[in-house]
Amino acid sequence: MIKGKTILQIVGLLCLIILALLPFAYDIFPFLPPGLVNNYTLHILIISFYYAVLASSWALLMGYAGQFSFAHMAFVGLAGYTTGMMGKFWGTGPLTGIIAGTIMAGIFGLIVGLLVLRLRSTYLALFTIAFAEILRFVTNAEIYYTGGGNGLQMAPLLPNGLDLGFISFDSVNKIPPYFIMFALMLILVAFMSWLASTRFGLFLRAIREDEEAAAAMGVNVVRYKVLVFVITSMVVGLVGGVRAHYITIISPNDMIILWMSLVITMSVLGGIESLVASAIGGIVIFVTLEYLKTNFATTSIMTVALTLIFGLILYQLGIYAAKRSGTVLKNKQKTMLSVSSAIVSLGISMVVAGPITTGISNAYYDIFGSLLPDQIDMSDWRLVIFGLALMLTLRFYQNGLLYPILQRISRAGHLAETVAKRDAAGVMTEAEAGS
Amino acid sequence: MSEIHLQVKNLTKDFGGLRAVNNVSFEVHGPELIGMIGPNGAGKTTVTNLLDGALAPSSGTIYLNGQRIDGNKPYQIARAGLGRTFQVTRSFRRMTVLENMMVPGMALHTTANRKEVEKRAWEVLEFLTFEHLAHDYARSLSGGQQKLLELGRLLMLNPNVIILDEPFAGVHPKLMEKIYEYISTVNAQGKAFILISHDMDTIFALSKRLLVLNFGSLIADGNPEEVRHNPDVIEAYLGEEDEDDMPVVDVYHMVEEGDI
Repeated sequence: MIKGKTILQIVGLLCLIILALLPFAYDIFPFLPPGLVNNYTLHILIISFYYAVLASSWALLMGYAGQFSFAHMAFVGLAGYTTGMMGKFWGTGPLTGIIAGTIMAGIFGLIVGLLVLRLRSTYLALFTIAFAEILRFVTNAEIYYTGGGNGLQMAPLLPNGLDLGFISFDSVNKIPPYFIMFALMLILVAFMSWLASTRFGLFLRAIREDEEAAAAMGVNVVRYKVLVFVITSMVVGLVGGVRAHYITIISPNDMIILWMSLVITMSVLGGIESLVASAIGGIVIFVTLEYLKTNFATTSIMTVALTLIFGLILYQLGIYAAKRSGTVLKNKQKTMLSVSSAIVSLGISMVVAGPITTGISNAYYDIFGSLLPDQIDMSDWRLVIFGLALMLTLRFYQNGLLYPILQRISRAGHLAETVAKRDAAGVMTEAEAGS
Repeated sequence: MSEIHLQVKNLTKDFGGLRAVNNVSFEVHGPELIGMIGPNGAGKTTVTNLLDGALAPSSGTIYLNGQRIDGNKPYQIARAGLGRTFQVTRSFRRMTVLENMMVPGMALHTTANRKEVEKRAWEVLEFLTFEHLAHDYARSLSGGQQKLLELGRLLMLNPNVIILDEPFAGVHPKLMEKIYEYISTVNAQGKAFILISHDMDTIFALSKRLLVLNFGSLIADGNPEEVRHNPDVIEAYLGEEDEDDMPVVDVYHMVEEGDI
């Protein structure tokens, strides 16, 4: 039997291959429907890769080291403004600027890391919010240097385009930035995952659990806490610089707390203790957010809502029926039950959503004198949806939504093995049972 | 005389106007098994914190294996060979037992090979008959098992001097016996132990030498028999009462009877 882990690896690799070939989709598969891949989709994916790195590095900072920081966007801005101002005043190119910005983010990461050494959770969060907001206000105020609220114009990522000999791209072509960001994401997430798998990650988790105990076990707490700030700051500084040059402008609005909250949501929904799950969460959430930005027919929103309601009712009925008949459902059966209730409720909803919407609309007309709009603008509601998702995840699934699934697939069979081992050893468990 | 593992000279700690530890001096000669007792607030835990570097002494010196350690950071002292547990167990709860064990193992040598450390961790787990729990999260362990895990973590540090703060508090009697067995075995391998407790019954039965603290001062240092008849100790514990009331307890007997 193929192991769950192998399946995951194959699926992951396939996804990466698809993403890598995406810009050339029409060259490879001419039969694809038009409009599927265009500059807009590439742009969305570039930004989503950027968010994937942010979410992943926040997972390293918060999920591994337990350092609740709001300063990620500040480091992004810091690096962006560094390269922007270097270009404006000294005429340096994007590459030099991005490297300088990364180093600058690292230096400030070091300073912040040293200053927050003694701060725990809430105080750390407040401190980093203050840091981020101060930076935003300074950039807003210093109009001569930073352009103030209008933002700072930047050179494009590749000012002269890219000429590879057999193929060339101009400076506004999305394909080179797509691959640059894609490669950066792969390299940085791989780098951080590697770090997390070494002693560095082990010590960070020990520090997260108990700083004093970690120190008593010989861990140099100060060094690792500062180091994780420096590393994550440099990582986000690097992608922040690249992003700023890619969209050719940076403004104080890029540093508002809303974007930071978005990064936190991505990380939490993906799974805060897994860098890869956080990165996937980043891509999925950003793409979904963009998809939801447009108007939706009221009927389709009603369909989604009814599917959720019917699905939950059917699932609970199933559980109740099983309980009444005295059967204990296994995890596999529960999964089957939830999937089938989702499918059935989707079917029901698609049939009844239309009439129900009309009914509600008519009732609305009777009360307020106007019909419900046919279309609903989701650009604010989507944030509400994700806000609710964040709250529900924090309340009920603290390990995130994605990570537990990945873990379950990759560790299939592992649980049974552990239980068997314990039954075999049994002695201690018995002695402990009485205590 | 065997070599001196730990030498504490005139150790003093002031918290503002309060002198929590007052001029405490003692030595640990080789692999001794020492009990440190004292009423609540006597300064036992403060002394531990001073020894392991969590607190810096106001004055006095501490030598570990001939090397001066006072003023060093806790992680340096831990690597130098002084390990301690905490009064309230402080395992890394959201890490597995094996990962808990790996932390001190990897911290001990900056170039430690993960495979070797893991091998050593399995050895320690085997010694503690703990292997079947290796992949369990520490938070799922019982209170007694957490104490065992702390002991295991300490053994990974391979320290010369081990300070156990209340190792038996709230532990199932069967497991308590087991923990004592492990302590004796490790002690016989040449490691010194300082057991801290305010529960005199256990300590009197187990230790070969007792340090008694009261109001931050060392009021007695000797074998249990001497300490039992030391008038200062009697006063510290019992006020004016007769020495006949001093506990004379056979812990093993009580365990069998199921009293504890």
